[in-house]
Amino acid sequence: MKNILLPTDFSQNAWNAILYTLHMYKNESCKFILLNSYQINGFHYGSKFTPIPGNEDMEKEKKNSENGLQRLIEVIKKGYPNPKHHFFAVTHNYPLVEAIEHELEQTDIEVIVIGTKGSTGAYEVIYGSNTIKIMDEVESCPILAVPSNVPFFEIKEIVLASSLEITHNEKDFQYLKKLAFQTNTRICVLHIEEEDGLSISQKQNKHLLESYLEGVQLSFHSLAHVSVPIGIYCFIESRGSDMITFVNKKHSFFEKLLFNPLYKDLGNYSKIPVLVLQTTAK
Amino acid sequence: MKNRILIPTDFSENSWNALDYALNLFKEDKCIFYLLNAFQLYHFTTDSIILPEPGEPEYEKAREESEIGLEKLIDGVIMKSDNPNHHFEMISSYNSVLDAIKETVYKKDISLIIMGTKGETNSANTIFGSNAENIMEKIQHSPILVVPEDAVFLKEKKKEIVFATDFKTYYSYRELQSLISIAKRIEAPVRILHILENEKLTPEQEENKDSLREYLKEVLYTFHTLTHIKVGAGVHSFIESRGSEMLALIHKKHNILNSIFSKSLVDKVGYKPKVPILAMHELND
Repeated sequence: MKNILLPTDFSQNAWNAILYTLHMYKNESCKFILLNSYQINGFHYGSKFTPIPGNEDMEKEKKNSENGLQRLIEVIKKGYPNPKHHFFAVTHNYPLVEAIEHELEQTDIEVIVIGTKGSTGAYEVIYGSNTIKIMDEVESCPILAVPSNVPFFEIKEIVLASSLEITHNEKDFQYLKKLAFQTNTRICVLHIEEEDGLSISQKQNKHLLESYLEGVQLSFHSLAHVSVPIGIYCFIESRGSDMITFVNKKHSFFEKLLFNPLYKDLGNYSKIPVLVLQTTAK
Repeated sequence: MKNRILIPTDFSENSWNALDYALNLFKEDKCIFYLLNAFQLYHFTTDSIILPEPGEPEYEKAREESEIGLEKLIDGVIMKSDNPNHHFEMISSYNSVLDAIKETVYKKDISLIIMGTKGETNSANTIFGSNAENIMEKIQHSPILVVPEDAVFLKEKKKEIVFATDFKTYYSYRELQSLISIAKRIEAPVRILHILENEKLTPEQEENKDSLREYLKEVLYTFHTLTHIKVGAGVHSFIESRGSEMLALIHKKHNILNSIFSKSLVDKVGYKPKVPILAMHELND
């Protein structure tokens, strides 16, 4: 049984992410943990500067959160029945990232799926502050960010963007490999050439990647004469790929790519789901 | 109706590859291939203003070399694949490549020129290196398919043709005919690529887009858009990303897509075409 964490704030974005996940895992036995973190006038457990609200308020908010989750589960069970799917509700009065980390300690979570606003509105809104915080701070579990305007259709192709400059461990790609098998998806490894050809270490990393993803339909691609963000954008847009993934690394070029306002109108990153993989590599 | 296809050759590896590509592309079709070799006696033109005339030994020697070369070429082709659909005629012309092609296109009512290129600027004495570009620009009465040296026509491979356009000019059906017929022949969908400069298409662009829809209804086609990228790099990235088989362009005056042919762009991005380019032309009549 797979454990999948679905943080929700009961918004439309979160709801779409849930639907996407249910569909993606429709043939798998799963335990979905629906997580809501609530706060009262900005108060969380552990906050020092906000006055502790009265017990009554606390109880009321807690009840609201719990009821909301129960209703959500009922709606899912009724609208999207699947005997393989089980649901659990978790309510916390921690800040969201802490609530997520609390769950990660308790349970062996396969992936966290969050909703994002998609391509409408300003850039800052596409990846809301919570999304950015989660992507930035959660380091022990893959995170899938699903834009609200993406309906689920069969995933046929995932683009793994990589500079091939970091030597990863097999574990870093474990989830991606499972996902590729489970959804029968091909993986296109995309490298944007900054110099001509690959260095020796890049070639070694490429071979390693091949061995890590053995058995997956795998192809390697490179584009030259374009910047990294533009190159990735062109690749995805040209091929109509269904998901983009990369391994998170602090201060990596992907961070720049995703969170750089310079590229805010590259609608594409907000058009398809982004899967952030974690690394144990130094 | 038989296809009348002109294949200029300088007996190089490139031009052999272009011929091979042509034979595979038109495998199922009845064709006459005109194999054209143009010979010139350069050293005389620099030393003296008097060109050798027919009958003079230098001329006769060059002519013989050209004819023997063509005969060998045809023997080689027939040995490789004796296709009953295909017929060959050889033309040995004492002329510049450009003029020889012009003349043959006119005299033989050529429907398509297929020629090789190295894909980069070569030394001056290689006919089809830098000249391919020149010929694409100068020959107005026949579409040209330029085949890079390492392009291979694989029957099994799924194919698609990228037609890059900015929708800014109106195309007639006749101007696009070679694209449509090749797409049909190899059962390739046409990917119409537009590198977007402005947010929205003008009404005129919309109209031109509609006329494309009309012309291409006999084949499969899809529309694609890329933004934030220069035309040359965008077209290149699109083809590279998708692994497309062929690039089709219409060469019009004052057309932004001309920049794909232009030398400065080739130099700037090192754009070296890896796929065959079908260059169609504006027809004025």
